[in-house]
Amino acid sequence: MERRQVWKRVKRRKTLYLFLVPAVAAVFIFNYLPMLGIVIAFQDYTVSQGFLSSPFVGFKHFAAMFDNPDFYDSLKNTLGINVFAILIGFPMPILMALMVNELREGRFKKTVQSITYLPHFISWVIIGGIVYRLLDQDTGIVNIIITSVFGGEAIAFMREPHYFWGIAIGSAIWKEIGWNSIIYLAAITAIDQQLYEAAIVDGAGRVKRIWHITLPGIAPTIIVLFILTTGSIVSVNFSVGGTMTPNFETLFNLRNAMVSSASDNLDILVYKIGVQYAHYSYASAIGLFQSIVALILIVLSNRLSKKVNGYGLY
Amino acid sequence: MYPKHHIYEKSANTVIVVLLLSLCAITVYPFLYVLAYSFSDGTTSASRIITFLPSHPTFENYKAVFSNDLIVNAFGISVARTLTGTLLHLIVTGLAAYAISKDDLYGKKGLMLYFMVPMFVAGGLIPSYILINKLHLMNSFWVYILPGMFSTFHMIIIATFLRGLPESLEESAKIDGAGDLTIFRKIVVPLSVPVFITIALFVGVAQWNSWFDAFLYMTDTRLHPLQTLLYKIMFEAQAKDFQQMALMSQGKSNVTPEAIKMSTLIVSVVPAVCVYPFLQKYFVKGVTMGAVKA
Repeated sequence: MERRQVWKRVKRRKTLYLFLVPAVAAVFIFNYLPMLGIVIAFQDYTVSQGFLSSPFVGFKHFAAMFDNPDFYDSLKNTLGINVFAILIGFPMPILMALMVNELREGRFKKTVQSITYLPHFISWVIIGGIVYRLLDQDTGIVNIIITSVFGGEAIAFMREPHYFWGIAIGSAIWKEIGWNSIIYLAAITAIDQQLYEAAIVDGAGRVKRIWHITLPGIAPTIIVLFILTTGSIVSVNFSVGGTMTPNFETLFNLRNAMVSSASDNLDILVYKIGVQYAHYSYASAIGLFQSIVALILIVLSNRLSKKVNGYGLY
Repeated sequence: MYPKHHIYEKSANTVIVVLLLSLCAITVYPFLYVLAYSFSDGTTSASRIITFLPSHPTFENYKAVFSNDLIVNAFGISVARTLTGTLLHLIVTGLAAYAISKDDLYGKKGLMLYFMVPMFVAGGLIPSYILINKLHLMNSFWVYILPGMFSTFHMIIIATFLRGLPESLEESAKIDGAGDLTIFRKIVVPLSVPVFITIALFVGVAQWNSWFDAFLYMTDTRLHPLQTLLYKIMFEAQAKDFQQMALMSQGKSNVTPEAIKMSTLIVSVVPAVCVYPFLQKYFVKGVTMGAVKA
């Protein structure tokens, strides 16, 4: 198109462009500027020198990262917690959706859904507080049941690192199972009802109908959510909420100094080094490493999905 | 053949109902337990077993919470950030969505790309932290509002809705000489109330629940929202806020820090639970819309 024509078209709808100004500015300032800020991972950044005149040091911080034993602990926690959370947590809302779908339309079905979505809207600060109260060694209800009903010894759940992964994964499942099941239920309702009718005529039982109609019908949804979940293993955007895996907020609100060897993932390491100790460049290098791993995981799981199913997220 | 099949179906139904009922019980019980604890006499709650009902029911814990200046102030900050943040988000995101929903907008593809890239790539915590510092947003109320005033995801949801509106209304308004701003205010917004409510609820809940921004960027505790104060009370037993509260509660012999924690927790959950019925009505639609888009 000719330049004058373009200008004419823009001028005719100039109010629309004005409408876009605040959004474009917000994205530029709060999303694009931090992306440029990644450059400090390759610098010895100091606040006084700024981005422009801090000296470049190449991969120094990445080398330091690979020499830091804390990095390997955090990497182990990040991968360990997420692998178990995906293995155990990812199928849960699918199972729940399949069960809810078997209920007749009515009040019970609605009530089950209303109750199980609720924790999704409660912050991790509050959930953290509730978990600490329930698992308190002396007065928590769980230990009271263990000691007075089963006659066992009270367990110091929040003081011993080896319980932490289980507690974090369990809390995340508890909080998000209902919410995640909505998406699957929505996908189930989109399946053509004639398929079920035909299957019933052919004599297919309930399990067969689920296996041959429902699951293939929601497979695309399962795959999209699976790819998004693998991406959130090492969160791209600092805290991705709503997936079945414990995120930064989960761990931050459940951790304490006594269990840090099991609770501190890469996000928390970045927070500690960058915010608490103000080693900006070093922390940014770890953050960048994380983003790259996340991107690789998304690409890999997408490729896997394409190979197995013939399609992926993109 | 038929009766056997029938029995099998019936027992499967029972198993499903039992499993789902247990899930509901597991979901609700922790809240009931905390609620019971929050109404319990602090000195006895340590020694007596609380299951569903408070031991020695009392309002003392709540009296202590509502007479605590820090908590009341934090509640006000939470309300202020939720209202301001949601309103500004709706204006900025709504205007952008209206513009982007127009097919004759030149450069639309480029703009969409510009908006979409940050959904996949992010600078991360530290560059954002430095940026907020440089922008002098540290210790400013606006740090709660400005970084979240726009969302590409919400813009896509609103724009999808707007494309479904009948064009004839806008056309006739245009013939009457109305500009884009008038059309947006007088025609588009009134017709799009459901989608705007959906987004308002999304943003409102996120605003009400956020605590980490204040934790990072706010050293001035007078500007801490309720969730951040709660974090400090819960997990930083040494924090100044907490010492103040413990001191304050020493005057009343039967109020313990643990009981106050639980009542504060309930106070911060209640607003979320109150809007929950509305949330349900609109959220589910929103999520399904988003899922279809994705």
